[in-house]
Amino acid sequence: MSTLQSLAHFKTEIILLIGAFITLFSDSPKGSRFLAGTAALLTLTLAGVAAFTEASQQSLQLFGGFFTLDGATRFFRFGMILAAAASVLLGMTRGAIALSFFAESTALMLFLTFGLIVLCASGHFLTLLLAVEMVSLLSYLMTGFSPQNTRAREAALKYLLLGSFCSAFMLYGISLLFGLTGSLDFDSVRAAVQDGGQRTAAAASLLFILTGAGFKLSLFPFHFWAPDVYEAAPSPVAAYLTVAPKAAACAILIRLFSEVFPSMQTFGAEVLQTLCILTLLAASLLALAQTRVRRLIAYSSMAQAGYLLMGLSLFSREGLQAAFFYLAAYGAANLGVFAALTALSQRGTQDHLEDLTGAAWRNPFAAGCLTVFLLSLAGLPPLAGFLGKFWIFAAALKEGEVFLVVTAALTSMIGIFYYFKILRTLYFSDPLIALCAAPTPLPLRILLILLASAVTAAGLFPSWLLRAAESALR
Amino acid sequence: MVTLLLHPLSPAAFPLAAAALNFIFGKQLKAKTAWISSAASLMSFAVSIFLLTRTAAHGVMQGSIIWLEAGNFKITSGFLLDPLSASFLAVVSLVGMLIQIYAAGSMKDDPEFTRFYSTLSLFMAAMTALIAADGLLLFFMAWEIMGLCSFLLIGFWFQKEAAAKAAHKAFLATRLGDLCLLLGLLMLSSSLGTLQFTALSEKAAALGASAWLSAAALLIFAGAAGKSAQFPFHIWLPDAMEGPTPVSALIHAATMVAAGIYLLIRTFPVLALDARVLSVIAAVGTFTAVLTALLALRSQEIKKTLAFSTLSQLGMMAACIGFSNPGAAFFHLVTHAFFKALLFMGAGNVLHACGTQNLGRLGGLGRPMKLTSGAFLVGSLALAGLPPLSGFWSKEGILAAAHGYSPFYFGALLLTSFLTALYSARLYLQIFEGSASRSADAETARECPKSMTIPLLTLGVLAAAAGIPGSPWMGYFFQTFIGISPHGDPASYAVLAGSLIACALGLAGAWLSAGPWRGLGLKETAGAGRFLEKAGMELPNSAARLFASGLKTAGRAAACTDRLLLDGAVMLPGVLLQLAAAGFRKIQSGFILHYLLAAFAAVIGLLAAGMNF
Amino acid sequence: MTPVPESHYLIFSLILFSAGIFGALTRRNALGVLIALELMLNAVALNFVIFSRTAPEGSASGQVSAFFIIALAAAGAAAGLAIVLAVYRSRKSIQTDDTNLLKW
Repeated sequence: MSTLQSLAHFKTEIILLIGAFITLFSDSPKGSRFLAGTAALLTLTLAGVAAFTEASQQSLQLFGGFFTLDGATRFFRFGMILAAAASVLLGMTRGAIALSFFAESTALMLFLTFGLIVLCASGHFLTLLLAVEMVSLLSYLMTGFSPQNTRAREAALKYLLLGSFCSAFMLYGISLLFGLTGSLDFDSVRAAVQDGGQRTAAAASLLFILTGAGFKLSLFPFHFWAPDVYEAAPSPVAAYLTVAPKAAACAILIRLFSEVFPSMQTFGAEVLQTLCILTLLAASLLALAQTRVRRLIAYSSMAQAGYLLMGLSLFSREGLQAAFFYLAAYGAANLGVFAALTALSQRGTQDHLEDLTGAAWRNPFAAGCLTVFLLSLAGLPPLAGFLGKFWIFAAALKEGEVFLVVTAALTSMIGIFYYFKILRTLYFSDPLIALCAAPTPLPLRILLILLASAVTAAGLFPSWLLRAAESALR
Repeated sequence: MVTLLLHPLSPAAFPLAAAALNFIFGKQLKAKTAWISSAASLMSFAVSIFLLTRTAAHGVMQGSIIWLEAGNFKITSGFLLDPLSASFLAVVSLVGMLIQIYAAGSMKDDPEFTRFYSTLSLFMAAMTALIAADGLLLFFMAWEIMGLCSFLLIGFWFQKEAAAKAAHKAFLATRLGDLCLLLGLLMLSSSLGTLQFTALSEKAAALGASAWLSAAALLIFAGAAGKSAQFPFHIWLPDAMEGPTPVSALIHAATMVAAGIYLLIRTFPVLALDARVLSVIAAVGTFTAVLTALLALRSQEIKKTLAFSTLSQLGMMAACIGFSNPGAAFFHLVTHAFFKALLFMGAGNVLHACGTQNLGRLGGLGRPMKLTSGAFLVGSLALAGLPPLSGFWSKEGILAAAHGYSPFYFGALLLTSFLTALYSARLYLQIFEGSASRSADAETARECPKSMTIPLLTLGVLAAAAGIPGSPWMGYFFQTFIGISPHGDPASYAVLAGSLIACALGLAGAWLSAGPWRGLGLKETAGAGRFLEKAGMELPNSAARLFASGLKTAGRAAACTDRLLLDGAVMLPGVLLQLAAAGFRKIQSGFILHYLLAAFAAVIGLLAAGMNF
Repeated sequence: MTPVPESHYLIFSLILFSAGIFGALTRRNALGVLIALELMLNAVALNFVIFSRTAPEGSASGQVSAFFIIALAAAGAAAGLAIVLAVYRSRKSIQTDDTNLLKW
């Protein structure tokens, strides 16, 4: 489809771009978050509406094959917009992010959303490359956006260096693939890989590309940036970064293995499953010893990415569907955790577990929501996380991956240890200072209620989400 | 509206609403939360009676909704109301209602009154949902919620460290069982394609025995063993007595621990496919029964004795399922619910009146506490199996099943009956008979308020009479009504004689040991008794730690028994994992160089591994 | 005059890439690491150009990609320098050993 025709289907993304520019310039001189925040939310609402009311339902190849608009893109697109809206709401809370950077940070977040959507929809390695770099650069910059915050800047530096390193490997892999097949768009590459006999070289380039994906998904041992970044970045940024890039990485993995390397799925499955087991074990062990809350959540996100990968690496219909469901549940729960932690925080991002002592008595609403989110992440019924885990385990058992399931079940049990550690601190400790009952600001309240209800509803009545996940499989 | 109220799931909806009300409006309602919870249970009971009669008249009721559907992947969930679930519903809601009324009196002065009742109502909701579930999915979800409520209620007085630790231990032990259950469930669903109870028997018969199904069956049994505290998961139940007495009565005697047995009854078609699975169940159940009966003899606290007794009775029920007679197991479950709840409430009364449950400091309470002692006597005798009380009939059913299965198990269960009679009668005698001057506490004891004695007396009547519908005097009406298994060998004389003799011997032994032969042989058997406790309680605790930490326990089991029991089972696996974690976390060194090196090493490693492709 | 065999170019770009890796892993200065990363990206661009020789006629994918890589490298450098500058302002040092606040 030619460029002009494609633009007609590109409404959502164009809205995002225009809105991002407007937000960038809507920095209010008085220093309130209202203007920029509203602009961003308005953009996201319009984009969401545009995405939802998408006319055609079949797969489209836009811009000459560079952008694939199919069920998966639509699913991820909608999810990214929702996640971005949640992060913007979170950012509008006083204390979540520095006032002076709010407008730019929000604008960057909108650009990031755009980049992520393009990443999910890429049909050509050039798009993939550019989108990955766009997402990465924006992430590095947004992490460091904090006045006087040494830790955030240090985290941004680490993110940048490690990220560029892994990206360079990924680019090298793409260049090797180009050399092997002589073209860069997914279809031609697939054809060439399937016919050609150079399996080793193709496998090598696949492994290099997986390095980049593994970095984004914070798999072991590419994960070292994740705890630092999620701990030190401002809350809304960290919340978004925990959810959206992982989702995009999942999307890109699915696209790679279904459109480019379908002949190498068994090989890819082995690699991914090995990484998955390593990630699960490492994340669980690392989380156990943590006393800093944000870092613990970072390691928990790493473990969640492991479970996601478990579903993805099966490459079966049930596995992918379960992974999509799990992704949505994990996204909502993780965003909620960050929101609730912001409500309960005393020292900003440097909260230790002791700072949450008796928080349930200080702010029962936020603590209750945090309980819901943590229990969903831990995988307890009747919440969405339980169903997600159940289906991933079921899909894995169906494929006969018993070892994987046993490991995942074990780490899941370890997970309960550290999630309950937080819960126990919240509830079962006498409140040391019960008098500082800080009320939760309104945008945060709305966000918390929406996310908590989403998580519970998805757990009790999952059919709507399952249908969405199924439609994402084209 | 009326049909909605009488829907089979409404016995679960009423307590759920009560729980929500109590949670939200607890501060305003204060003491009235007890009324709300009890009223909800009363309504559940009324509806369950109605449903019971309807089932008796019209047969099985079923209904389900498509819970989720994605392509050809469909899961339905709903209710199954057959005579089994209808009668269990009635029993549970009745006992629950009585205990909630009881708790209004016994927990009157507790500042956390409202939290107690909201959690208790949530538990009732989960339990009734579990009973009415038509498939393993809803069953499992309710099962998990019950585990959560149990944790919250055992650790109700969480400021007491012992209670918090006990709650932890209970949660972890049952969680391990839950994991096994989940795995078994998944395996079952993957091979049978369904999780509905009614479909299980046909599909299982069609598929025939296989290693996969047997493994699934064993895992399901592991899950049931976790919840119903069979060996080696039994370590959590005695410690769970740290919770308030109504909690022990409801959850750890009558309902939640019975849920495991209920699971086994419902999944019996799958379990029965492989005779080896059944033999495992029979062996574990019998072993638990005998071991914990012996441990009950040694216990010096009322509630701990009753806890061991519960373990022993549950073992008998599990064994009975192993003997392929789930109907007899269910009958015993019902009668046990009545008399065990009664006994716990009696213990609560004693605790309330004297402030202690140490048997060494009690005695002669029969005079000041006539009502309690009378009811407790009925309960003890029912537990001992004296005819014509309910315990006799149900126990006889189990013994008959054992007799038909193997003489060895029959002998073992006879031994258990003897021990049961021994410790239950002795318990009664030590508390309520004898000279009152054994302790100062007993002198000031008075009878408890009506809210605590009326439920006791009601249960006393039930404990006495509830066995009649299952006895030959009414032609085994109960078993036919439930209709799930052979109606037992109408007792052969060997069984009848055996059970009567065991009961009589036990009662006589108790009377003698409390009177003329007091203290006889105590020193000689002390060593054996201590060994028993080590084998029965500490070894499973150690094995649990071994499982979690991979340590060698041989050298450590002898020394520091107490600290290990408290600290070890809960803390040690956690502590060891923490140690490993503390060491491992150093890899996150903070140096960018290390990060880059690790990533590079990973790439090289992946390449090296992948190049074999 | 025989054309330079393609493998020579490839080995050269591989050497460049490895030099970049070596630099990234051994430099203690954040700017040094950045430069090494730039080197790696340049090796990638070179790869694209090399392979464009053997690509089908009329396809300019390789050369276009090389341009894009160069632009990307520039953008990455800009972002990297901005962050390094910010770190310097906070810590008065850009030695990677010193940026050690976040650990464990």
